[in-house]
Amino acid sequence: MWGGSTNIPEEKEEKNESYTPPEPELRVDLIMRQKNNKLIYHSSNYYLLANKEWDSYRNDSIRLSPNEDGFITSYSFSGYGPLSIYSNLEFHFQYSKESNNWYLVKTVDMSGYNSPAAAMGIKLGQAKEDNPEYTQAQLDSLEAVMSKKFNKEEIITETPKDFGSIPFPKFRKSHYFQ
Amino acid sequence: MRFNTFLIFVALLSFGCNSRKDLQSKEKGQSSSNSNLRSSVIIKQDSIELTSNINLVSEHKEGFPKELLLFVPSEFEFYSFQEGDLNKDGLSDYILIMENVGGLY
Repeated sequence: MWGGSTNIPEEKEEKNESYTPPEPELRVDLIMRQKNNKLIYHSSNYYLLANKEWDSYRNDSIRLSPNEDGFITSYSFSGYGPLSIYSNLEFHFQYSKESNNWYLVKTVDMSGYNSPAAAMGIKLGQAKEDNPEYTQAQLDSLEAVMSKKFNKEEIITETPKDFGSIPFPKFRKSHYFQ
Repeated sequence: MRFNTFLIFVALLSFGCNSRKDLQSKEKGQSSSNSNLRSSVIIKQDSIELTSNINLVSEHKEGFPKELLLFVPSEFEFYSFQEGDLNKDGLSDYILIMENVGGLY
């Protein structure tokens, strides 16, 4: 019944030669229901989810697309401390009826400070210590600039124009974490 | 006579050494397998504590759809799943996540 191969495809397409990806531990299969209610195996990916050792500081998830035409994997990270940042990287896979496969159609990379006010307070305090000659007007101006910087969530979106055509089985998450 | 006694002594000594080696290697093997057993248990505990989103084993293992059992090869264990329409055909499909336990790598 099961149609997948147990042979693990080698990860040959690494961009950075010095980088050694951890061995895959989690395998993701797509199992499709037919009109006669029977399930059939469609395809697998060994490099979609994190290895467990990575999970200690990164939370990965898969959720169904709200449009019911695919799924979204999400990799999130959050640091500790007043100057820490968070990041959440999403990969949107969409079904193509023509090729009967799922393709990466969008990546969304969101990042920002966990505690903008705390981070700004520390940096502003350092600036005051380092520059005692600053006038109040200068400090106010600096605070305004910092406020924009620390409260901003950076969002970067990419499409196949940026990364090409990537079907589900060939997706390598490690390409995005080097 | 003395030479024969010496030979018997050497033979006994050799047998004793081999037995000891066997015993040591057996103990070593047992210890190693125990260690492997312990580490595999620790990994499972870690995964439950440290992952929040995908590690739904404790929640889903009981509710694991029986119709998916046939799709889990012997080298793998069920880890998690998502159920829903993946290709907009109105039918409920699955994303099946499995953990390698077969030592393929």
